[in-house]
Amino acid sequence: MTENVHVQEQFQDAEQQHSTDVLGMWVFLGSEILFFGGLFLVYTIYRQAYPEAFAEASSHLNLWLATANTAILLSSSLTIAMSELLLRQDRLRSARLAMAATVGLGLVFLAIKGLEYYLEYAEGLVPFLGSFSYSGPDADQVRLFFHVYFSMTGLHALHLAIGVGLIVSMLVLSFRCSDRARLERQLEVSALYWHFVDVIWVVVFPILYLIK
Amino acid sequence: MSDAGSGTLSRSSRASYLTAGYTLRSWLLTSDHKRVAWLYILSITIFFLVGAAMAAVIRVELATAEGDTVTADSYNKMFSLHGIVMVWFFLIPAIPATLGNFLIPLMIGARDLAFPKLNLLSWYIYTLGAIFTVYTVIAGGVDTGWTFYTPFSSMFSNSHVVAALTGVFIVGFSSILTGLNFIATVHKMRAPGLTWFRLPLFVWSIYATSLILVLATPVLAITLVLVILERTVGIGIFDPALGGDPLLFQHLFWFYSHPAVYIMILPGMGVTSELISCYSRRPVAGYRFMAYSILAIAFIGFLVWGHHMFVSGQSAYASLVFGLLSFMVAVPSAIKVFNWTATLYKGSISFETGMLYALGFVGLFTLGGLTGLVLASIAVDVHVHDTYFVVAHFHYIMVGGMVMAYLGGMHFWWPKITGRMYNETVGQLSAIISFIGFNLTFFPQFVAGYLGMPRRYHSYPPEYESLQLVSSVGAVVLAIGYLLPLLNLGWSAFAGRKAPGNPWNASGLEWSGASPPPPHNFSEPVVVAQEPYSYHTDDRDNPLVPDRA
Amino acid sequence: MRSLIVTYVSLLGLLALTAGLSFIPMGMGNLIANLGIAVAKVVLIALVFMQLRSADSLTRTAAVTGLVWLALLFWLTLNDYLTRT
Repeated sequence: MTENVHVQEQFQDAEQQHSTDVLGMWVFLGSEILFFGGLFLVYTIYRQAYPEAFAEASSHLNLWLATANTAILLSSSLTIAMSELLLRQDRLRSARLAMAATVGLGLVFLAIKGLEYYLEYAEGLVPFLGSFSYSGPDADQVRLFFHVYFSMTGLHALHLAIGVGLIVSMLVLSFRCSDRARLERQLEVSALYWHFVDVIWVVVFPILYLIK
Repeated sequence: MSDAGSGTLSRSSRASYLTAGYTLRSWLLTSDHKRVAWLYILSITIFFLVGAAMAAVIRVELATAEGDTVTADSYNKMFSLHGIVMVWFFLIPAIPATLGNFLIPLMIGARDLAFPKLNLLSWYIYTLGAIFTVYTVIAGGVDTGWTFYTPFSSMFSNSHVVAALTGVFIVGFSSILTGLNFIATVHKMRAPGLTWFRLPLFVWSIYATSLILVLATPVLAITLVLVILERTVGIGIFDPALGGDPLLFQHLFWFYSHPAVYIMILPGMGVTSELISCYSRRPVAGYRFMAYSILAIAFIGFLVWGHHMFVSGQSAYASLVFGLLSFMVAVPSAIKVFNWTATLYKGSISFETGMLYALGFVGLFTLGGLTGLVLASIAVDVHVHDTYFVVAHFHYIMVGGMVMAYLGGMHFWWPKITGRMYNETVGQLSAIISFIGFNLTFFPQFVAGYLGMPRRYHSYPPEYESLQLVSSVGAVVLAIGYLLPLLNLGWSAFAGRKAPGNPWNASGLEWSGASPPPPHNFSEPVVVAQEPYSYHTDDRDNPLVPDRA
Repeated sequence: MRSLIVTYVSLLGLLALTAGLSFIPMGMGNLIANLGIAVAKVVLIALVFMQLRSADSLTRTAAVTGLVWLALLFWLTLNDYLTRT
């Protein structure tokens, strides 16, 4: 496999290039953990300070849509992992299908997330743009929760959108590039990112939606 | 301007990375780590001059007790922009992005960094962040101080906070990607035989710095995003009216910004180790201790941020823990100073420019570090917090330490980078002048601060006037000390004597080829079979003659 | 392929479990169960989907480092908030 493979000039061989790319992505993900980590810290501090307000606010979120969305993201992680495997097994067409399915699931997630945002807007729970109309107990702290909620989910959605872009570019690459080793390598690195976005959601989901 | 360095090198001489292309395009689209280093050298020099100009206004204002040169408002903007520009657009990238970019692949026997295009992208991201910062300056500045403390930055300041925050946020990604690149490079690209404990300490220091860049910068990024969101769309995460805690901003901010101090000083320690070893013809004493203490400083540096918050209202217990952990950083730092001194002991010492800078670094870093212990002691800190004592302390580390090491390193590797020798006498003079000027500028601030003069005021009680005047005069001397290398190095890049491959008789891999290096490093594969710093004091027999071929 | 699908089914099972448990009030128990299940899901994704199972020690170290540093951030910040008087 290593013959007739194009290796970038700074590397000695394909194996070095592959393991370096994977390491690079893991280091980047380590950095991303701390990027989201700042928000998780904010959440933790405020939740331990205002547990009742956070539980109250959380009960206004749509648990069913979020659960469906979690299932969708988990499915997308499966499809992207399958596409890697299929590509390694030289089943290019099936691998492309799995990539397309991943993109589709990602878009569905974003659409449902958008619907959730709309429902919250209609209920007057968006704490900015002057539309916040919640007036139950602890209104200020409930508002604080929604600040955290929107920054966390918004940032996650942004990452997911970037992930969709990445997988689309892998699809394009699979048609335009005949260097299979390169496609495998880049798909593996993109998939790592995709799984990471999934991991973030797996943590975000219980801490925002499942407070009782 | 970027290809000026190559302009006058004779084209007939052997091909070098400088002569590999003369067009602007060949520089702006390069992925050669040596050329990307040049892009950074020019950019950070420009920002150093911008930051220095702001410092000049501050020093003129403070020369007299009356606030007569600029208004209080302009003064606030001056020190804020001075800090923002110097920290994020000069000090953080200073050594890693210039010397680090140039030297890491050469020192480890690699053909380039692991991700050359990403390296170029980092510079463009830096430039984009720089554009926002320049816009902030032109639009009218920002007055929050470089620390952007909430709720002032999020709710009250009427200056261009969002533009300034955006600039810093963007430049953070440049840091992260540079750090990621170095980590992958050091792990994966070392030449056969080059084990971890054969690496030059400079590589160790850049590696540790990269860890900090990758692990600390994202926390700053998210924090700044939250402040930007609060100012633009009203997502009030730190809003006290809702029960938000502005102090939480300080925790997040200092989780980055204290380790950031080590981003600034660790590469300086790496440079100093190379210089002292070479110019005293002795291997670095306690090499392994030096490597471990670099890692220890990088790690413990993450555990001490709360010493910036002793008087902010954090709990007494937290202050106690942070104070204790802060003392612990002194241990690996002291090991380094001790070992530099031990390296000199019975060495065959010569005082080239680089050595003078390195010795200056050790002295100023020691003073800066010891006053750091004073500030880590809670009771004393309550007295000197937010006074000129703090200002003097961190300038000893960042300017006395980092800039000295940066200039020392630039002189040391300049022959390799440009293929030309600088003027040694002018170089030595500039090292001595900047050492004197620096102490004149900042030592009086220790005294003023201890006597109780608070920082960040444009007018002050007249009893501090004499100290502040000495400081302002010192700043003039310091400015001369900084202009001389700019002229000396700048001139020599065009008209200096041709440099041999290894003018200092130094041991590192980076010296093994021609000066300046060819566009492609190491066309012959390298195998390393020896320990670092293979110096002997009887190198005296081959004295350090710069023209020796 | 088999291990991917087994993992996927387990993830969905854990999701159903965590969503279902949230309707049974257990006080602190809910928090612990939710976080425990989240951790289990993260570990599954990391080991199988992200291939840490078969990764070398360097990759694993890189994966864990971010979490260790996150723990430092939490430890010392909570050190302040939980001891305020």
